[in-house]
Amino acid sequence: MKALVAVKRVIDYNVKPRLKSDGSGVDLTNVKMSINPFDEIAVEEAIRLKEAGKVSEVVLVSIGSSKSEETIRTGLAMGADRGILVNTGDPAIEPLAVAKILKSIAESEQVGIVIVGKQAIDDDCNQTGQMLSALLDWPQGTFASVVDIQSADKVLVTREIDGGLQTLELDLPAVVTTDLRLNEPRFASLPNIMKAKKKPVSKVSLADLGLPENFIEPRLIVQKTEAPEVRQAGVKVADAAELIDKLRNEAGVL
Amino acid sequence: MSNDPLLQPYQLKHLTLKNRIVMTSHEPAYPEDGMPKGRYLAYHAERAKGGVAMTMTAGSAAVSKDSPPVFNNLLVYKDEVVPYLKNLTDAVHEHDTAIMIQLTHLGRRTRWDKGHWLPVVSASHEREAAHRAFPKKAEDWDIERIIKDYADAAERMKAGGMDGIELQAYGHLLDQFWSPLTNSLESPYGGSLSNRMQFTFDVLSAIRERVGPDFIVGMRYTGDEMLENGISPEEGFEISHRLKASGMVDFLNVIRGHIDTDAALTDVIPIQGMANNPHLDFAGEMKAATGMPVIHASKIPDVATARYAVASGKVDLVGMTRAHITDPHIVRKIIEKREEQIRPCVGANYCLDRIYQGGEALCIHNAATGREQTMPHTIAKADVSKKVVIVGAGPAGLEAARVAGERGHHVVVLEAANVPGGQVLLTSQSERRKEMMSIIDWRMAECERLGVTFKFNTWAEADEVNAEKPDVVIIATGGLPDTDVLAKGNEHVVSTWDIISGDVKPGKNVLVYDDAGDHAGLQAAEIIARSGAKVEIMTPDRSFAPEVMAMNLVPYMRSLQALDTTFTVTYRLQALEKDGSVLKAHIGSDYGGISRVKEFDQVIVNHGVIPLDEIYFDLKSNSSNHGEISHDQLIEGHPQSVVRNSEGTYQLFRIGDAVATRNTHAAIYDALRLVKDL
Repeated sequence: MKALVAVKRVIDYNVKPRLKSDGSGVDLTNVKMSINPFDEIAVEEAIRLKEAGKVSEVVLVSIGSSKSEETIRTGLAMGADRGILVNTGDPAIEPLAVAKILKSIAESEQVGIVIVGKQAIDDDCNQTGQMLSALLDWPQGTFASVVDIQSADKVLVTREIDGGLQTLELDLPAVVTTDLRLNEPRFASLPNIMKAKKKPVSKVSLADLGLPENFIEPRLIVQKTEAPEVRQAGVKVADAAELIDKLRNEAGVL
Repeated sequence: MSNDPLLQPYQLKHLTLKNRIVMTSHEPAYPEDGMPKGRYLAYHAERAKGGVAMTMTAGSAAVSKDSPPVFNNLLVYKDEVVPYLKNLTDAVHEHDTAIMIQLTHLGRRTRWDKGHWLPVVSASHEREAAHRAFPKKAEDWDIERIIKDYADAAERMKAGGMDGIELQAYGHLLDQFWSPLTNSLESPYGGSLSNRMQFTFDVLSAIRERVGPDFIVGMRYTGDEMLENGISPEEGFEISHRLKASGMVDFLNVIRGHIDTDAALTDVIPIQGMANNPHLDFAGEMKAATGMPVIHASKIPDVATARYAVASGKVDLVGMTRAHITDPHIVRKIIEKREEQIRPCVGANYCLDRIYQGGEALCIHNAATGREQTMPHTIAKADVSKKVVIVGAGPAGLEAARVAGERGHHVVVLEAANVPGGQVLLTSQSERRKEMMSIIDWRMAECERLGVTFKFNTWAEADEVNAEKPDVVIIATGGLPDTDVLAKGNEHVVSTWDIISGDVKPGKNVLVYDDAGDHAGLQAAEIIARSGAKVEIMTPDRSFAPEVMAMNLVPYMRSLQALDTTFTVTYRLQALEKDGSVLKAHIGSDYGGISRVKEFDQVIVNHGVIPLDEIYFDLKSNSSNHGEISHDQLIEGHPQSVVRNSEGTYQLFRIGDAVATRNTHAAIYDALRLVKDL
């Protein structure tokens, strides 16, 4: 059984985002970019399934500019087998288009399981996995904290839900989205980074997938982007009387 | 006036200290001929310049000829020390920093086969494990002459311009008299606590007689030996009260524990992975009980902990000694509100371990420490800004990037991985050693401040480098594990990196063959042993893991011995044969005449790295210097001017493990001394 894992190139979680001066979005020039942490967990899970003999091949797919190949290489250095880069250029691409592209690849690759991060840390959409499941008409196990493949056609997925854990039995093929506690991704060592350089990454265009170019046009319009308001410095009050006075007369909460 | 507790002045007798941060006495082993000459002076002056309130010199300056230094301590039994001290104290006082010195007689904590080959003396015949000497039991004339030696030395210190002295009493002669474990003398110097303390009071009286009542005299001592039948905490408090009641002591410098083995010493001076400030509360109790001025140091590596130590009233003066070995300008950065720029002590303890192994204290990630006469702590701007391309973001590459950034160059770093760190990433896989990442994190923060550009996930080849149009290229690519050491069967070997990175799962019955003797071997062994496997560590050397060094070995031993690891020295793994799932190890010995076969299911080899130097050789032909570094210019601190190819468009240099397997300090020193003159 093949596993397909989607990996997104996002702003590194350690970086403090800065806004573009025109307010049209986050400034990504010269900013450290990394694999989306939830996708890294997805890669790790697929590799573990392969190590356990449950999966035969781990295929990574990333959608975006040619720079997304770096993100695929990161996953290959962890131990994935090969990558597919769907080159859509620079524009941001929305979850529905991503899901449609993934559907096309999942079908042509005939994968048995798709594992994706529950959300990307840049736009926090949390939609792609669910949309993909609906498009493929495959069962979905979202926010997984345990993925246990029972047989060629059954997987148990434990999900983190409000107030506890829920375990689902899904028919394969299925779509799984990963939550934070599914695993701790391994460290990509230098020897494996070297090996990853030799692993195949096929580069495909939308046309190669038989999808129209206008297909990725945004359906949403960004009106404006604003940084959170900077927190004002506090003041020290001399005594309780001054505090009460300020609460009453300045803050107006008493 | 700042309200930072650390920046409040402190009055110690007549001496006003400008803040609460001090360096406690320590001997970085910089004396020349037993005297504090230029190197010594430059080291302390740099810290005085950095704003520390007081620097205390000379751990264990020797007062007597039969207290030969164990590692190049000051010889204060010689009159000739005075002018050197005068120069030193003047240089420190110039920065409004106080300076004191620690005097001692080591007693049994030294060796007889040193200096004048005099017998080692103590209050009993009990041997100290660490230094191995069987001591003579002191007789009346020994005691008399040593008391006089202390007084003579104290007088020299006063003449040398010192603001005060402290007497060392943990593991040395004074407390060898205190402790029932090491004192088998009869009255008047043995028996009751009063008798056991008599020698100390005789010494103090003789000193006071010589230096007068105003000169500051303190005691650095253990208030609890933490040994069965040793000095108990109750006795420690009683000792403190008696020191106070004597009226001859001006401050207490309290520690806890004993130092007669490597492990015990490491509990007194804890290293990375061990708890911070383990004895601070105890020092605070001493202060509360006696009301005496209290100094304390023991793994207080960061400003926040130091601030707590003072603000909580536990101590009056906080010792940040190793922290100042890493960053001499801590106080200045606090005052200028640049605390985040303080280079952090990572507790690697290279400084202390290096004293025994290499004869001088060096900081694992500040190569200027101890080299103040040639290496700058503050990097000056270059006259001409250059484009510097660095390949590799490990310790060497990041130090090169930081220093080039400080020089005002335009710096680009290309890194193959998606994160910086290089081999430090592997080190930090050990929970106990993850503080090492601060070596990387601090440099990344500095590089960000200095505007260095990083390109991660970039496996640089000549094209990527040339595209940057560099004036200078620095190759800091490190290496890959070299496991090719066997006559036969190298293909069955697993590297330490495979285990540490998790790429290969540990076996069940594992041989770790370690002839590099550095951390990677023990780190891998520990991971394997923790997985429940049986582990044998084998080396052809006569001691294992020599590069890990004494205090760093302690946490490994505590872990590995508990996991029943076998340590085998003086045997050489020669070949491996695979027989089904079994690996047959053919074992010989450099001493000859041995040929044995032993079975394992996994064999790890630790044999350093082979440089990852392909890009260096690809870039060599088009460089102006063909990669050559003039050693003379490097050592003398001149810019590199080798030209071997007048057509070359860039200078090319190679540093760190990309040249040959060494260590973090070597990588950082390579970078600093090359790039400071670029």
